[in-house]
Amino acid sequence: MDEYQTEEETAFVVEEVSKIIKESVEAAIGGNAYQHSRVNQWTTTVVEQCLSQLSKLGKPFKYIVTCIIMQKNGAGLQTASACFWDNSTDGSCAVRWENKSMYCIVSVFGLAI
Amino acid sequence: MRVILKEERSTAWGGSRKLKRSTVMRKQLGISRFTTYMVGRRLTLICGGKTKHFVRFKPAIVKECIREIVRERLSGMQYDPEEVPELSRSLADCIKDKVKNSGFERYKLVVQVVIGEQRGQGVKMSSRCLWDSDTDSYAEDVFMNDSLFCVVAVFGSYYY
Repeated sequence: MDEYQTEEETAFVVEEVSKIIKESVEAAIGGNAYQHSRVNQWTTTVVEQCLSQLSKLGKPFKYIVTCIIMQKNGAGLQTASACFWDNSTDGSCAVRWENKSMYCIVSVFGLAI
Repeated sequence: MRVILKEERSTAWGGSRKLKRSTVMRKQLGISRFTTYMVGRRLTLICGGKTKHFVRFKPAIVKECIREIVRERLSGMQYDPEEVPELSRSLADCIKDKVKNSGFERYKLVVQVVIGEQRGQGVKMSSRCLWDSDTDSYAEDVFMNDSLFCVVAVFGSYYY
């Protein structure tokens, strides 16, 4: 049991990270409509909020966080990632979020130290 | 796209004298037992009396890798929703393999590819990393034609 707990405490837990991302996006954008002048601020707030919450988890990870916001007008968007890392310790989590006027995709990569 | 190392200082060891940013990060990441020296393009890492030399992640070389592959694969390409998922995956894989074979030993790599359709909409991408700025780095490149845009970011993180 002890061993299990230690593993849980130092592993990349996707559910935990996904929750952090969703909360950060909701807090930063919420129901706002797309505004060109505020997009810079939104993406910055989302990545910084995610990173600060991730660092509070106190796990031995380096983190990479990216956020894309795109205005909805029928245009398509696709993201993909490829990683060269240690599958047993490292992990990633991507969340797709949208409201009436924009899409927001946030990806977090956790690299064990 | 901007990638900036988040600067965090705590009064516990920040004090009134401004500590080197990477020193602060190292403490936070729990890797302060490592000391690094930079001589030209080589980085020397010292840990517990052992010395390791390695080639640093060089953004210029990686950027060239990205540019070459993206130009070759996407020039004259139209945005096709059916093809894009497979295309972006294979681009990411291809770039990862090319960078992996560029000689940056002991680097973990994360390649992110974003392909979007050009219809005059607004798009913004931002990144932040919590890592060791002495050893870790990134490269990015943007490609555009009349029908689509493609942003590729490659992050390299040293494995101690």
